Amino acid sequence: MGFKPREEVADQGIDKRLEELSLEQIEQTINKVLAAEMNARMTAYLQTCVHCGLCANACHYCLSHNMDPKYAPVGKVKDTVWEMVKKKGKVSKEFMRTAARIAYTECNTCRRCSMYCPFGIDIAYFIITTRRICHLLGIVPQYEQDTVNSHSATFNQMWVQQDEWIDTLQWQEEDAQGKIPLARIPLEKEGADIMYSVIAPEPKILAQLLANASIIMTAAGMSWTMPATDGWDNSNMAMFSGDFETSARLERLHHETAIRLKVKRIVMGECGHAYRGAVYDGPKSNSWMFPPIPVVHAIDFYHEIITQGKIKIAKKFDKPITVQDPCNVIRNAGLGMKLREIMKATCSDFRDVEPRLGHNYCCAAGGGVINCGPPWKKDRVKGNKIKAEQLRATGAEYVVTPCHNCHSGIEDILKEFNVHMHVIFFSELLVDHCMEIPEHLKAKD
Amino acid sequence: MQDKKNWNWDAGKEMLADVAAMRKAYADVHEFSVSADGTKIAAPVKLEDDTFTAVCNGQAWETSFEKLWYARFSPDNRLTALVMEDDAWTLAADGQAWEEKFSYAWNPKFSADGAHAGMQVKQDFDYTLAVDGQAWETTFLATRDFAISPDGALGVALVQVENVPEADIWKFNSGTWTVAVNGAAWDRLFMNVWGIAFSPDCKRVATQVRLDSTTYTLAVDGKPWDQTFTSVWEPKFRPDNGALLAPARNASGWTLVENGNPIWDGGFSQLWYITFSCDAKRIGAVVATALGKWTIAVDGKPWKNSWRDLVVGPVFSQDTSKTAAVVKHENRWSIAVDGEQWPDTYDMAWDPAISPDNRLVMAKVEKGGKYFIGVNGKLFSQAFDALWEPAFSPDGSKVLIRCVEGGKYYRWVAPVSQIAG
Repeated sequence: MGFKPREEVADQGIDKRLEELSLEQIEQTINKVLAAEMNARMTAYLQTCVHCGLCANACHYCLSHNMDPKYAPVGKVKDTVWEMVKKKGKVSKEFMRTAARIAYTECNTCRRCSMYCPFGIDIAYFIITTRRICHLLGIVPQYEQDTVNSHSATFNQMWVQQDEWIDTLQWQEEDAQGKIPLARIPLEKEGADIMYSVIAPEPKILAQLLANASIIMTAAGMSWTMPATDGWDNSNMAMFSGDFETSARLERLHHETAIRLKVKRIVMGECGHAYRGAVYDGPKSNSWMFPPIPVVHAIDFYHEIITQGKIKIAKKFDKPITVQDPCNVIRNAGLGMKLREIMKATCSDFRDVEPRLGHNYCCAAGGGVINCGPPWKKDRVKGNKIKAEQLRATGAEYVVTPCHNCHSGIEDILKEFNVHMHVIFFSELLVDHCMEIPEHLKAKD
Repeated sequence: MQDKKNWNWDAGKEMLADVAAMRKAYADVHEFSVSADGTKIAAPVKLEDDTFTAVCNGQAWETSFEKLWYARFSPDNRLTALVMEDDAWTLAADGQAWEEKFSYAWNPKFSADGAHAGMQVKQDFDYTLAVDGQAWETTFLATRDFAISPDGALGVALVQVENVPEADIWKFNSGTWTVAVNGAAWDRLFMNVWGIAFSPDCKRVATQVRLDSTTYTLAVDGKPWDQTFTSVWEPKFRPDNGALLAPARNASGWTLVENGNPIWDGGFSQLWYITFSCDAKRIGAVVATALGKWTIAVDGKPWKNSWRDLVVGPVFSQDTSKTAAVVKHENRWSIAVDGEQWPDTYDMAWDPAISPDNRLVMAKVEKGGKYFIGVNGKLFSQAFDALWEPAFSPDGSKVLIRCVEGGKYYRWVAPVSQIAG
């Protein structure tokens, strides 16, 4: 079966810089990374892989492209790191253009392939190594780099100004008071139990989620705070661009803000990659073995307050509804059963996906791929037909996506493949449809 | 910073505010703040007409505002807060708002004596600083942080001076950020600038800078060091000779550099929070000797023990011989002194204080939802509902306790023998 070559996509972040680079710079940078930054892990993986190709069945890009081998994880490694190692860095600019395209736009580093590898090789590690090389060479997709630039200058991913952040929290607190008159978003409250952190799209375009947090926290009677300083954004696209120095700076500020506020734990909003950055891929860049302040994902937090009776479910949502398992908190962090327990606690017609839990398909937006922006949107959406088919098969009218990347990515594929389904966050399900407002907190006439 | 010699150190316990009554008196009472000398306790409160004011020792300001938050005491003991009236924001101190108002205002800070106050402000769509009620004439596209020098002479902000069109990564790389001092931006622009440090004479300003996407260094008064690094953290000037120190990463790991040159041997897995002893002869820092092995290094030599989770910046004794720090291991907090941890662990621990005679290390700790004073690893028997960090008197004979018990706020000066047992 013949497969079409990739369609040309212009991205000035890659193309323009490649023109300026010499082959010597490419060779030196590759060898520097392979010699100085990589370790026995890379060697062990390279020597262990038997090229069996079982990983092909894991990848949503490969499954969505009729098993085209260039989208198989093993094919992606072959066209990136393997060749760099084999040729000791003596690769062409055209090779680097393709390697950057593969690493940034055709792999979400979701790690599903590792589950299908007989040896459990962390294939995403190869891809992230490729991205590290590309970052050091300065060949990063333009929009992805712009996001990282925002991180480095503002410590959030969407250029949110400091006054915009605080002002948004203040008006969302007022919005929450429409439902619970004494609802608060307590700012800079030293000694609270919880620091609640979110990603920049919440103040920028989804501010109602901040009001939802206030309503849920107030109804559950939690001691909580949000910072009025930088350090509130828990997202980290630098981790995915290969800019590990900026990544470390972001993770440091996020955790040190919690340390400064003397909280006992960080609860984070519905975002998967942020959990990866704050809990298991990010801390090590600062020499933390574990997060210095424990981090609880929203799924885990909702599970806690529902199962402990801190919030009551007044009415179950009765329309057919399914769920997305975000890779970074389900496959890679084991919150899948808790997600199902809260879905069943709040919905009377929950229709599970198949495959599910750790075997669920990625949304194709995570791992920095959606941040590569408009030039790559078509590739991203076409590369996840399998997810659209999976969701369509549930017959659900709604899908809960407890992750911002999943939310945006799934909206795109549902539209592309004509699947009629509403995409919502769990907090919207809870606040808009299910949650009981305790009597003592209700507005008095 | 207040001179503790001027505080009232007469032994005794004085009830200054009935906070439980305050909670009943107002529709909503926000977070409390207590002055460093313990004589005042205040909180923003919501009034029946949905306006806000501040209440200090039970007494409400005469003026109320549409909004009021961030109630904090200045170093000269004035109660300040960010306030909004007629949709415009400003700073109020002891009930008096600045005349100048802004589209938005935040992050108020003070000189060491409290005589000068400044904050970041937005006027329409422009950003700048306002110091002592007056906005700088120069405005910027953004300000990201600011500081007032301890002597109050300099207001310094990290500023964006050139616009970056949407997704213009090349413009960003060329440098659009710099430092503005009293309204005047440095000539040289950088890809990034982070943090502000003042020289001991408050004449020079240093910051971390990123020269290109992989090259970092420090800049003093707009001039970067010749030496560059793969990463740097926040610098500090030496109080004795004014040399600039900073953690910097090179091929062997993180080390301490002075005016660009390494002064500690070897490389650490991490290094940050430089601290000087009172005489500036000794330098402490938080270091990780390996992944998950956190400790304090003094003059480059790590303590013999390390902790898995984190260590907070060290505190030196007045004679420089002793260091203490908050430590956290397997999610339990404690205090370590010269590398030895107190026997007990806590739900939370605050920065320790070392007595002037060096004998005692004291810290506020939390256990089971109550707050305690720990001294040399033992807890004073009394538990508090709320507690602010205790302080030794200048002669070390007494302890100032700022606490809430049974719904009442107390300023309590106790003999050290009573607290330390």
